[in-house]
Amino acid sequence: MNWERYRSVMERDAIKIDDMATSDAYFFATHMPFSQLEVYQGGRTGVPPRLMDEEEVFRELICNPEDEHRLIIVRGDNGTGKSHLIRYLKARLEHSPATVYNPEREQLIFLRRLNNSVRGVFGQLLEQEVVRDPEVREKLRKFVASTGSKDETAFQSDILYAYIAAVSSDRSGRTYRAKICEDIASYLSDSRVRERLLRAGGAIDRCSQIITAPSSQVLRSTAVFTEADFNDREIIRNVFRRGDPQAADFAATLSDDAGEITRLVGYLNRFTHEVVQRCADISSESTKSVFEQLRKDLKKQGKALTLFVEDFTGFTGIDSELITVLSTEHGGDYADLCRVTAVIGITNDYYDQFRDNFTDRVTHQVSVTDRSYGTDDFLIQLAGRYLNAICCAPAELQAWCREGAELAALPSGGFTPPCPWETVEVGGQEVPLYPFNRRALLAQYRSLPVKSPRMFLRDVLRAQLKEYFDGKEYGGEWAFPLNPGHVPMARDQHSSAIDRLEYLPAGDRARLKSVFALWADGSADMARGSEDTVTFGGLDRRFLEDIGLAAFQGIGGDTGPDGPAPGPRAEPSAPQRKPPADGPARDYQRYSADIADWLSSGAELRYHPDYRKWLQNFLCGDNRQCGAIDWQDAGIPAYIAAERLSDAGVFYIEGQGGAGDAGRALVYMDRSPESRDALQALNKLRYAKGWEFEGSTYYQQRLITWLERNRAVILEKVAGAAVSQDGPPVLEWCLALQYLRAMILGREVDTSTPLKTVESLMVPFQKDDGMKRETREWGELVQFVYSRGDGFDSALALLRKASATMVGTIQGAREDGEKRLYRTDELLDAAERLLARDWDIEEELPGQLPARHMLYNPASLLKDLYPRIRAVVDAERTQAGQVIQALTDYIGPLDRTGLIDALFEVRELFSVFNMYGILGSSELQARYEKPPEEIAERVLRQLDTLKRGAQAGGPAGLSIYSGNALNALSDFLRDLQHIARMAEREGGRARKETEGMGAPADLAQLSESARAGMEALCEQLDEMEVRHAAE
Amino acid sequence: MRLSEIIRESTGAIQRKGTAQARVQSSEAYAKALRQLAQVNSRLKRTLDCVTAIREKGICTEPLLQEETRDELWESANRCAGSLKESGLTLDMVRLLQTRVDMLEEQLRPAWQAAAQGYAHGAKGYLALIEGFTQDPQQARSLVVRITQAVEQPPSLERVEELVSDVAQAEELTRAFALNPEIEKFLKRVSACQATVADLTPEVMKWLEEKGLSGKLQVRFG
Repeated sequence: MNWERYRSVMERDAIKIDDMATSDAYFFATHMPFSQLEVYQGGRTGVPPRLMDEEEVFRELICNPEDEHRLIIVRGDNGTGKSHLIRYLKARLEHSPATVYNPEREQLIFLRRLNNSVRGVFGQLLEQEVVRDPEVREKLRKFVASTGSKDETAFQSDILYAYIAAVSSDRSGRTYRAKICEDIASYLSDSRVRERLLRAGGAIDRCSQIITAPSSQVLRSTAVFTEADFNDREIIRNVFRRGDPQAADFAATLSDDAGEITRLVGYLNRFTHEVVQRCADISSESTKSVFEQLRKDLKKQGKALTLFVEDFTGFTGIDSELITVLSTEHGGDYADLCRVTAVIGITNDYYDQFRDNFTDRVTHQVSVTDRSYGTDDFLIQLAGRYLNAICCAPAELQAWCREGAELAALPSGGFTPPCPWETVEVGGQEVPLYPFNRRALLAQYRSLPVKSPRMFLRDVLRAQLKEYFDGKEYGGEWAFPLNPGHVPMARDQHSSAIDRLEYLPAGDRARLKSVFALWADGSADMARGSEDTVTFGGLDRRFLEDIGLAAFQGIGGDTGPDGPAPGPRAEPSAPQRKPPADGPARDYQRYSADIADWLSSGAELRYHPDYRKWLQNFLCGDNRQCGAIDWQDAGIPAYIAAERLSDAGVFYIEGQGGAGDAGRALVYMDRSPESRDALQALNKLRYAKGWEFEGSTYYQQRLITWLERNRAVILEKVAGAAVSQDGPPVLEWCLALQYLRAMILGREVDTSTPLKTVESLMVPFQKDDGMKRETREWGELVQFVYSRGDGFDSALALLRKASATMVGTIQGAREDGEKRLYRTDELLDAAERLLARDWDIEEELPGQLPARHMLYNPASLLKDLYPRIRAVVDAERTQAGQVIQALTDYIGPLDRTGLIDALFEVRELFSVFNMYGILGSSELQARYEKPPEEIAERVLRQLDTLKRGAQAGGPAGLSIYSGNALNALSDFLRDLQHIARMAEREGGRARKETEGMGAPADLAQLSESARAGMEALCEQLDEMEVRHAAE
Repeated sequence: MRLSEIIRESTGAIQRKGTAQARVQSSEAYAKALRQLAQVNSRLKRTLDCVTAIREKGICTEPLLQEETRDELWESANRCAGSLKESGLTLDMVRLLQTRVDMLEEQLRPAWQAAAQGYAHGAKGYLALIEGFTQDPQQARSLVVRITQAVEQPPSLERVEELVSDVAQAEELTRAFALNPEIEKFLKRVSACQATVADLTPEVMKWLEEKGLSGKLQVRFG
């Protein structure tokens, strides 16, 4: 294989970032047809676009048999393929039959992106004989020639002064008032500011590039000023203190307001157009006339103009003139101008910045979006075409291009991978994706910070192939594959195991991880296939061999059919296994000597922080091993132990250097042979990563001896008190606290079985202010619960964590998730005991409790709580008695009959109220519209509850009163009182009004008189002469 | 006191108040009906008297009251009278009678206008013709206006008396103002704006000079 040639072809011909610089052969060999191009009519994007492929765009927009005026912009973000599309359209037009493109009737001009400075544009215009006016041609020729030879420093000064002059004469007031503009001009003239702007890579340098960039450069942006040009606090301060008064004024403005710099930058960039024209010594009119003259000349020749501009950025300074001239439609008043089809490449940023120039002038927009290039198949096809082109013999490719560049006849690169490999079909032939595969290409594309074809070609294909070709050519120093996105392996364990493969250099370990992360399935699983092939993570071993990773033998965990993987195990078996030359071995020796000196010569321990950490891991466990003490069995929740021992400061080794307080230590190690052996055992264990080393039995025994000798003291100190056989009944305390809190807050707890009780109590209770209590004491108790909420919450957390198993988790459950495994038997025992005692364990709480001790905090809180509960229950009982007495006074004996009679009376009252239109309380009325029997039953139940409460005290009474029967019955009493008051009030009012009415008037006399009158009238009517109907 | 007792006392008082209130309201309604009945009675009587007077004064030769109307009025009046025996008169009964009186007056008005027009036409027309030649033209004009207004306004007993009196006065005036047929013919043509020079016969010219009216004579081409 000619790796050097491949690399050279790739860099010089195939993967060039500027498409126009690529030769036709490589352009066509790597061209990927665009589809899903978004095409808009006009310069706006309000209506949904039509989706076209590149062929449709060519047919409908570039072919122009009707001689319609067209100004088409091809838009997209940087690197999306605008240039590529424009070049394709231009090539497609050039190679079209005479019916479509006839050079006799059509002038085709294309302006390349390379050399896209103003000078470059003028150079291209001169080269392509676009400029016809001799005077203008001479002027441009002088400009192109002079800017190349001009003194750079002088030219840049000219540019800066052009900006200063523009600002100084700005009287528009659009951004700044005229006075401020003068201040800005002074500020820009300050030597410190000037120096900053004129620095290499600074604003003025960038502007100079726009005007005169050498032909090898491609401009990335047309923004001259950036915030970095002014965001230097030192300069602002200096100008403020020592600068000219006007400049100092503006410096003060800049230092006061962070947004002012952004405003200034935007303001100055507005003048770029004017400054470029001034410095290039070209006027708007002359620029305009260049293109106008061209169109007039072409018209005289009977020709039309088709113009392709790859990148409009280079036209800064003459952009608006060009757009104006190109947007003028031929015919009518402009009959002397030829027809124009202009295709202009433009970035979305540029378009947005100068939208006003385009919106009403553009006839079509073609937008290249990730719809056009972002699909998986597009990327794989693209990669396949480039890989094939790189491997093809250049001469063959040139010949293919000369013969018409038919895709079906595309020459094959002929690359043969070292093992069977994924291919992609290009022009009917299968092209291997080697050294990539589909997964690697897509994974790397997705890890790109900016996802575009250009970035994919540059940062994935070109960057990786360069390393691959170098690796193949030079061997030894392999860097392939790169993983700039730091994509990790999906299987952490395998990644970790590769890190421990000490027989591989660190670089190779990193490469292996990149291969498995990007090319493979994220693991390093080894499998054997047919014909004795071996794969790792689904990748053929021969690929690893091809890229210089032949030494890799797997990490163990063979999943193939033929047993364990060949090769050495990754883990060392004993401290003596390897010569002590590497880092871990040196550490081992260092620790060993330190421990030996500590005992033999009484020296201070130099590395005691490490030893204390070892002890901590040994006692509490870490992610690789369990702790040596079964805290749960010892009656101390492992969670508590882990918390108590989480600070290395609670471990103290006699003779340790530095600060430390032996008296406050929970784990104390004296200076003794036993302790030394224990530390040595931990040192060896750490180095060997297990107990597989010579003499391990002895060291195990010594370590256990030390532990057993100190175990009781450690337990006592961790627990904070002498630990009995069973340990403190923490679960019982926590359950009791949770239950009492539930009762105080009026929550329901299902105590039908111990299991249901536990289940009800393992959930948190949200704050609820909705429940009103009758006694002040209960209200205060609720406040107590809220104010000590942290204590209760801690008890719940303790309950859940302390009863959770340390070994065994539910797969997929999070650390703080709901899925846990609990030591149910202990919880049930605790619940049973509490139920049997009616939740009253006050007398069983320890007399003396350690202050602020996690384990004893629940007991301490219980001690505070029980007396308050008793006081509350007493108060409730007294209040309940008063309520029952008041009800009896109102109703009589509180039995079913008495209640129903009273409730019927209430209904009757409301009925009379309704009949006589008396407005009572609609709320009350609605409440007592229910059947009296139903209400009576409810009241009787509440009465029964209160009567039971009168017999119980302490937590049992609390449970009875918790449902708030007292409040319900009090509400009933208040309702009756309210009803009685209403009845009395309305009755009294009725009596008073009745008295005020008096007797009705005697109308007998009047009535008789009226009757006589009416009878007389009847007689008169009888006597009246009448006309009969027939008459 | 127990709740039941409080409620019972209250409901009793409210119901008693209701009963008392109903009684008072009923008495007030009866009194109001009596008052309105008295007004309707008076109105009806006046109307009937007017009808009788029109007939008696000879203004109308036919009875003005239709039998059906009379019967309806009688039925309503009789019902009111009957209800008064048991103090059962209601406002509805009175309103029905009132409606029927309204209808009677509606029927009476055009009949009166037609009859009065016919009764006064002759005297009023001639008086209007000669009013300027009478001894007291102002009185004659006033009589003509009064008669015209009496005919156009709703009938009443007083209006009937006035009409009869005015018509009698008009007839008195015209009787005193006798004209020969030739003069009468000329005046009719003048009042119809049809008189010509040919109508100025020596008899007419003489009469005009006697009456001092020749200065008022004007000749005009038609």
